[in-house]
Amino acid sequence: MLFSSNIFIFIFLPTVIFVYYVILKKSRKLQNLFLFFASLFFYAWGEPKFVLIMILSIIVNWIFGLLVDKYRKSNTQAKIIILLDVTFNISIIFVFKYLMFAVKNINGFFGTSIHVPEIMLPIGISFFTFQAISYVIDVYRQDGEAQKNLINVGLYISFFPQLIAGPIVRYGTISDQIINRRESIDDFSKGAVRFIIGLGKKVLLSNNMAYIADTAFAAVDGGTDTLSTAMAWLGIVAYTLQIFFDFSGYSDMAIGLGKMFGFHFLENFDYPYISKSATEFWRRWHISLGSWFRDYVYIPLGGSRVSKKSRHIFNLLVVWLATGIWHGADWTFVLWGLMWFILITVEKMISINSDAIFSNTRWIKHAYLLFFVLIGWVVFRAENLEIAFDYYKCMFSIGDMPLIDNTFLEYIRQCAVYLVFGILFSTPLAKIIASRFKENYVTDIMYIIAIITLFIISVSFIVKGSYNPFIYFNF
Amino acid sequence: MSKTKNFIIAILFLLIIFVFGAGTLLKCEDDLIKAFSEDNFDDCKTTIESGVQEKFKSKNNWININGLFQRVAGVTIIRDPGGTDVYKLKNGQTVYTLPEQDMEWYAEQVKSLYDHATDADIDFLYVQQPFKVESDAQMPLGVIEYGNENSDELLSMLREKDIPTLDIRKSIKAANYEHSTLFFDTDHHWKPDTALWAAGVIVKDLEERYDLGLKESEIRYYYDLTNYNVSTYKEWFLGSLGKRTGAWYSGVDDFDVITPKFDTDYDFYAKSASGDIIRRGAFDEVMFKWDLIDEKNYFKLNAYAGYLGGDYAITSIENNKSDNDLSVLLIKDSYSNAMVPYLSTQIKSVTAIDLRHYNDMSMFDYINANDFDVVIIAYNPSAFTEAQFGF
Repeated sequence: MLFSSNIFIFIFLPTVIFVYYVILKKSRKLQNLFLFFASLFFYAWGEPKFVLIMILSIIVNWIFGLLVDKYRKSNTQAKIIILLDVTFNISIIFVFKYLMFAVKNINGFFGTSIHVPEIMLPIGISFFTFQAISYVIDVYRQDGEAQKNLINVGLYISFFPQLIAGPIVRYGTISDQIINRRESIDDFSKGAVRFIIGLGKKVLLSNNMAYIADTAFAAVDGGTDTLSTAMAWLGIVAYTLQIFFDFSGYSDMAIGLGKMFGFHFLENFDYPYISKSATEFWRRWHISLGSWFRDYVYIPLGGSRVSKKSRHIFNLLVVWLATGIWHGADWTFVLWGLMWFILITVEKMISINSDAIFSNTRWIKHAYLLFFVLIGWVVFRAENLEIAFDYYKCMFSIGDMPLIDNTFLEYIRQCAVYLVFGILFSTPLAKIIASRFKENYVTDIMYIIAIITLFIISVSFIVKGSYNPFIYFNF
Repeated sequence: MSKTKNFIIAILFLLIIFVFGAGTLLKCEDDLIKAFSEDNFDDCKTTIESGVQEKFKSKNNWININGLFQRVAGVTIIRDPGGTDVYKLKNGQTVYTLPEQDMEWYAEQVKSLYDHATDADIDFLYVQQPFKVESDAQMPLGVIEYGNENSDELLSMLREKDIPTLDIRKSIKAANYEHSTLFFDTDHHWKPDTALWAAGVIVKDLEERYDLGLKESEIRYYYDLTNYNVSTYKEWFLGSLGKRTGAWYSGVDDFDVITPKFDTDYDFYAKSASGDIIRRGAFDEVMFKWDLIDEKNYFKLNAYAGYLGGDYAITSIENNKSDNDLSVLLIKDSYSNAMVPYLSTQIKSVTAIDLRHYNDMSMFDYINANDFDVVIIAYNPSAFTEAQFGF
């Protein structure tokens, strides 16, 4: 079930709000039970069979949580339990997400003819299994109590706001909220506003950018002479905006929905495109994923606090390969992850975040980062490496492609408004401008009108039936 | 006030989702009952989702709101992932585009039918009806529309094969008509007065080409608008394109009902999906489906379909007051819904077949089984489909 759909906004959500706040308001236990089953229903709506996988994951991780809590005093036993838990969770992801890729490549490299199984990818599997791992490890680290109640673990892992596309909520950050959260009118109100803003980002900005990006990448599929250089650049700029507003819009909706029910999730995006380095970019982009890998992979490996530089580089390589592969089972994602590994490693070697470098021309740092962001999104978006390299050729006019064509003119004309607002809202400029205005009744009324208008326009696109892809659903 | 403004937004948000959610559920009662009787979950889900989408409360008003936003944002291409994109021409009319096509096969099909007709000593004419777009200069920047190019290619191939053709676009230019005024703003069809004029152009061409025995004075008479009553229904019609973008984006059209001032008497037969339709009487009694015209309902009704009643597999009209014995087979598209009534004012017998709905027998067999004097194929470029050229 998509957040940006009639059935979610007008049927599922009002029903859940009504039952939670009106019928079950006196019992936290019943509220949690209801949210859990509502979340299972939410998942089953899109994946009726795979909901069983999620239920299995909940039960197994609940058991591992209890075990690691019971045997925490024995370091060896606790570590074995964690190892088993991680193995179980990674195995689930491996089978559903990576097995086909692995078998195809084994056949390719070794000339074997192992049957390649056709396995469908359960939506959100990368998100909920990472949350499940987080649960057991955070229980071990005593960042949160082991839940005796299976429903509470189920609610943590499957809660519908963040189930499908994150943020990856760390157990330690919300363990107390499962039982002791305090809903408030203020939180609910802020949650509603956040949801509307996220919906607008997704429906108005991301979906309209998707048209441009999809056209550009479809054109290059037919050969490099069918995509002009101008359209190639426009396409990747559009994709850069599409993926940001798609994912951050979804995160906004998830955070907003969580707030409506008293949960406070951590922020997942912080204007990543204003970054001046790859290091900074990954502190602002998909923060929950970056911090997950940092806390559960990078630091346990030793992080930067290792004696040998080679070991530090190795730790970075593991994290960035894993980050790339997490996004998808294809060499394109591996290459994308490797790109970030190289950039971050070089930055650490030359201390790019130091103000001593390009201190008077910060725009060079911005330009450097944005250039590689665009380059990276090409290989991330392309269906395979061949299409990615053809796209690069078009971008840099290597070949017979025209410099500019009618398609570019058409999309520039049609999407100018969305492009301008997309670029504007991917920076904190709008927020800074808004903060200059003193709050008074007039500005507040304008704000109310703006947000409600945004909601109405977003809903009009949904009701009319418009292009509505969700990129991060593939993960 | 910061908390208050968020609170007010939340109240309005809840109001909207509860009111429209409950309203939609009430309208979807039948879909919900059907969904719960489905055999499997996927069918159940699909029934509910499509019901909610189709019957969403005040759906048409939401489409209008969307159209208003798109208009204010200066968007001239309304994307429709489930169907065809709608384009706004520089003159404000809405249209869809046609892709580039290889017309070779289509030309071969017409040739086969022409040869068959000619062998049976039946006169033949291919009529190229105009598309709404006169040239790419009218299209949004960067958009190319191939309807005219495809038409030119087909006509060129037909002429090479010595098949008689009539290009209505040339007739429009010769008559110095402003192309855009001949079409609805919100629909892809031509207007009824255009159809009346085009009928006269076709009959005149047939007479000049084949000497059918029709008097020139009569041809002028029957296709002269001054010999008709024109009832204009103001701001009455939201065409197919307008229904998809909303009236606040495309505007609405006036709708003309054009009926003869002279006496008429017809026998009308049509074969529709729901059964045979038989009517007898004057022009206004047989040529219209009045319940599609009399009521103004932008989204539910299609006034254009009020001409003849829509796209029937076969429409057969006998003019009991005609003083000739001509029998015409017209292989048609929806443009002819407005044209066939006016062809019938002079021609004794007009049989119109729509190959999108007719599949009882081939046109070759149909010609053999009946006694036609003339076979006309009258298509606009959107009719360049395998079904419509599968004679």
